[in-house]
Amino acid sequence: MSVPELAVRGLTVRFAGITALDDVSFTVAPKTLHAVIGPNGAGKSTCFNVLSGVYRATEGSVTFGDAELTKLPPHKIASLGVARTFQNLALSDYLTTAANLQLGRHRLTRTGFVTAGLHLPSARREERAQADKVREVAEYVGITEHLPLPVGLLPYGVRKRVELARALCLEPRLLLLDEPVAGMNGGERRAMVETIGRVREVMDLSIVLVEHDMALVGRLADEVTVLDFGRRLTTGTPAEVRRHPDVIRAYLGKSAEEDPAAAPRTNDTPAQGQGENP
Amino acid sequence: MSGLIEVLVNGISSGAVYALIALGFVIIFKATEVINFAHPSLLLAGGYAVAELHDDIGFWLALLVGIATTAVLAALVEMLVLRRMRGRDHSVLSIVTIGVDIVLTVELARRIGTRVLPIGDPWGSAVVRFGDVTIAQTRIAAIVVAFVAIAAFLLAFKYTSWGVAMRATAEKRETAALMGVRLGRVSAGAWAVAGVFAVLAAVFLCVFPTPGLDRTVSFAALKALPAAVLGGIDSTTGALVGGLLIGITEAAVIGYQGDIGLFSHGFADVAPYLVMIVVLLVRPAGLFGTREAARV
Amino acid sequence: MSRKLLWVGAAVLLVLPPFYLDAFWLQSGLFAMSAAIGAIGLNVLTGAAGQLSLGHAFFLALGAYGYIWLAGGDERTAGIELTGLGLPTLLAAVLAVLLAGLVGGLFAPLAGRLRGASLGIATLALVFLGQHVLFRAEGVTGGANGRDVPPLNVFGLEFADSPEPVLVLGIPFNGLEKLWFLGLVLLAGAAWFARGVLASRPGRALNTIRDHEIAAGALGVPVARTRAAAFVLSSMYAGLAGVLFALIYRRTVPDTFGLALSLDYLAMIVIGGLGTVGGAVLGAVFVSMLQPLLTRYADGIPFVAASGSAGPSPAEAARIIYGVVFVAVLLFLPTGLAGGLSRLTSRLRRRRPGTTPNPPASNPSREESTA
Repeated sequence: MSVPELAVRGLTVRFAGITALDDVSFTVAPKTLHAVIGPNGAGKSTCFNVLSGVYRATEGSVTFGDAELTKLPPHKIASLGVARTFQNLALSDYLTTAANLQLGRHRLTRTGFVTAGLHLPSARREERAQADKVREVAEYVGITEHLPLPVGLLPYGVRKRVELARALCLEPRLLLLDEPVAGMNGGERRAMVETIGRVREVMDLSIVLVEHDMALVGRLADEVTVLDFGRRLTTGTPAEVRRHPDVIRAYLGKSAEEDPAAAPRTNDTPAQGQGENP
Repeated sequence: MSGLIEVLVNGISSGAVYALIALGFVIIFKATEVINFAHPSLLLAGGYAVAELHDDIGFWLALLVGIATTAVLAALVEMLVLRRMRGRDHSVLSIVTIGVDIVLTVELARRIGTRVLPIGDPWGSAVVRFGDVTIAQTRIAAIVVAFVAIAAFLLAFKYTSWGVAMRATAEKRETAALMGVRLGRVSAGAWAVAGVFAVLAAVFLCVFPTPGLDRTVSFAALKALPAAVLGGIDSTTGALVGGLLIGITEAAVIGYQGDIGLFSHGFADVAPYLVMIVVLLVRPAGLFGTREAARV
Repeated sequence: MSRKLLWVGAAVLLVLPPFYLDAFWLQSGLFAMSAAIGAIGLNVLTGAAGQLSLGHAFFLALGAYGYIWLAGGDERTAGIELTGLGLPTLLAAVLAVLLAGLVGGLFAPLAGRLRGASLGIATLALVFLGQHVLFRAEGVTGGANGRDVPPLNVFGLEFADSPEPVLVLGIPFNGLEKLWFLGLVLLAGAAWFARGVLASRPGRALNTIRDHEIAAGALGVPVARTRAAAFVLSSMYAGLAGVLFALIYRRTVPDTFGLALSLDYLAMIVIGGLGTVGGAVLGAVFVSMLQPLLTRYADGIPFVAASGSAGPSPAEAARIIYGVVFVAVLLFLPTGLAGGLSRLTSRLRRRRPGTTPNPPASNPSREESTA
C-alpha cells in the first residue's frame, strides 16, 4: 500500500468566538516524520482533532492522497489508514490489553453481529488470525506479557505503549501521535522514542507527532511546524526551526521561566546540542 | 376566542409547573452530570408530606415542612449514594438513581394506596373571571409561585457564591475543585434546590381541578423529563422554554382532542414525549443545549 | 474437566422441574427464562454499549402482541371485534421477533445519535406511546381486558393443555411442561448467540463505544451505526422474550407492559452484572423469582404481610427488596452478583495449592495526565 502526501491548507477552526487555528498550512511528505510543536494552547491538539475527524474545520482543507478528510466522519478517516493516539489515554480499562489491541483491527476485519452471534467458522477463523496479528504487534512494542491483563491494572507508561500498539494494529499509512511520551519517566521515555524510531524505519507510513519535548522532536523529526496562538510560525528542519527568531521569542524567550512545561527540555539526547550551537 | 385564552393560560400554568420540575433535572445535571431519575419519587415524597400534615398544622406550615423534608431527602441521596460512586461512568450514576426511585416510589405508593389525598391549599376551586374567560385561582397561583421561585434561583445562580461555584463546576469539575470549590457542597446543594422545586411542583399538580394527590403524581414529573431534554438538559433557559412548550402542548391537546381513535382521551399524556422525539431528531442536544465539545 | 461436569450437572437440574414442580413454580420458572432472554438483550445494549433503555417493555409488547395478532384469527369476544392474520404459529413467532427488530431499527436515528442516559429518556417515549396505543388498538390487543394467546404449534407438536396429555415417565405433559423445554432451548440459544457477539469484534466495538466514544470512532468503528445495531439486537431479544411471555400466560393485557416492566429489566442486569450474559441470567432469576417466593412463603417472613393486612404485599416487598439490592450492588459490587460470585469462586480456588493466582481484583485506577 503506497503512502500519499498529507496536505493541510488554510485550516481554520473557531469555537464560539475563539479561533483555535488560524489559516494553518503544512504538508507531510510520504514516509516522513513531521512534528507539530508549540506552547500550551497553541492549537496542536485542535489540529489533531481535525485531522482525525473529531472536530469540524471552519475553513480550509486537509487532503490525504485523493481524500478530503475534513468532510469525513472519524471512522471513514480511520478506514483510509489514519490511526491516532490520545494525549490523555483513551483505552477501555476493563478490557484486556489483547482486546484493546484487537479493536485496532476493527477496520481490517469483517465479523458482524450475525456471524459472531452464530459462532460461524469464518468468525472464529478471523478471531484467531487477529489474535496472531495482535501478538505480533504486542511483541514489536514490547507489551506481550501484559496481553491477558485488564488495561486498567497496568502502570501509566505501559498504557501509553498499549495505545501506540493499538494504533499500529490498524496498519496505518498515517500515524498521529498526540504527546506519546507525556508524563513518562526517563527510562520509559527513552524506550518509547526508540520504538517510534523503529516504527518509522521499518513500517510504510508517515507520522505526525505533537510534542512538547524538543529533544525528542530534534531526534526524530524530519520537519517541524511551530504553532503559536493558533497560527503557524514556521516550518523547517529541527535545526532551522530552533534558530528561527520568532520561535525563540514565542517558545523559549517568554515562556521558559513561568511555564516550564512549555519550554523545550534540555535532556540527555545528543541531538540537543546541534540546534543551539550553529 | 375565550376558549383559546383559557387553553393558553392553562398551558402556561402547567408549563410553569413543568418548568419547575425540569429545572430540577437541569440543576442536578449541571452540578453532577447525572440525570436524576429519582426526581419523580422526590416530588411524590414532598407532596405526600404536605398532604399528610396540612390537617394538623395548616397548609403553609405543612408546605414548609414538606420543602425541608424533601430538600434533606434529596441531599441525602446525593451524599449517601452518588458521592460514594464518584469517578464511575456517568450513565451508571444515572442508573443508580433509578434504583433509588424504585425504592422510594414503591414505599410511598404503598402508603398512599388507592386514596386521593387533598393537599389543603387555600385556593380551593375559586375562579377569576375576565369577561367570558374563566380561570381557576390555582392556575394563577402556580404561575406566580413558579415565576418567583425560578427568578430567585436564577438570581442566586448568577450572584451568590454558591451559584458561581456551581457554574464553575458545570464548566469543568477538576478545575473548579482546584480553585477551591467544594464539590460536595455544590452537589448536595443542587440536589436540595431541585428537591424544593419538586415540592412546589407537587403542590400545584395536586390542586384544583385535580382532586388531590394520588400515587400516579410521579408520572407528571416524568413528563417534565421531555421538557428538560427538549430544552437541553444542561440549559436553564431550555428548561423554562421546554416546560412551557410541554404545558401548552398538553393544554392544547386536552382542549381540542376528539372523542375517539388514537388522539382521544389520554393522548395528552403522550404528546410531550412526541414533541421531545421530534425535537431530538432535529437537534440531538435539545433546543438550547450545548453539544459537548469533546476534550481529547 | 470439573467445569464440564458443572455444566452437565446444571443441565440435569434444569431438566428435572417439570417432573417434580407444580404449575405455580413451572410458570414462575418459565417467566424467569423469558425474563432472562429479555435481560440478555438489554445487557448487550445497556451493559456492553452503555446505552440506557427504558423502552424494553415496549419491545416486549411488540413481540407478545405481534405474535398474537399474526397468529390469531378474526373473532368477536366481549363486544370487541378482534382481528388477526391467522398465520402458522411458528411463522408468527419468528415474524414477531423480526417486527420488534424492525421497529427498533426505525428508532435508529435516535438510538445511534443519543448516548447513555439521554437515550434512556428518549426511550421513555416508546413506553408511554406503546401503552397509549395498546389500550386503544382494541382490534389487535383486545383493549384493557387483553386477548387470548393462540398456543404455539411446531410441526404438529402443540404447546397447550390437552384432555389426554402425553405421559412422560408417568407425568402428564401439559402446556407448561412442554413450554419448559422450549424455554430452555430458546434461553440457551439466546445466551449462546449473545456470548458470541460480546466476545468478538462487535462486542469489543460496543465496549469501546461505552468507554471512549471518540477513540472508538478514531479506530474505525462507525459509532452511530454500531449503536443502532445494538439497539435492534436488543429489541429482537425483547421481542422473543415477549413471545415466550405471551405463550406462558396464555392471555396478555396491555397493563403488563408499562414503565415498571422496563425498570424490572434494568434491575435484572444491574443486580446480575452489567455487560455479561451470565449477569443478565442471574439477575433475571433473582428479580423474577423474588415475588413468587415471597407469595408462597409470606407467612414465614415477618416483613411481608399476608394478603389483606397492613404492611407491604409480596409484590411490593419484592420491588422494595430488589430496589435496595439494585442500589447496594452498584455501590458495593460494581460487577454485580455474577462478578461477585466469580470472584468468590476464584478466591476459593486460589486457596487450594497448585493453581495459578488471579490478577489483583482491585478497581482500575484512573490516572489523569495533563501535560
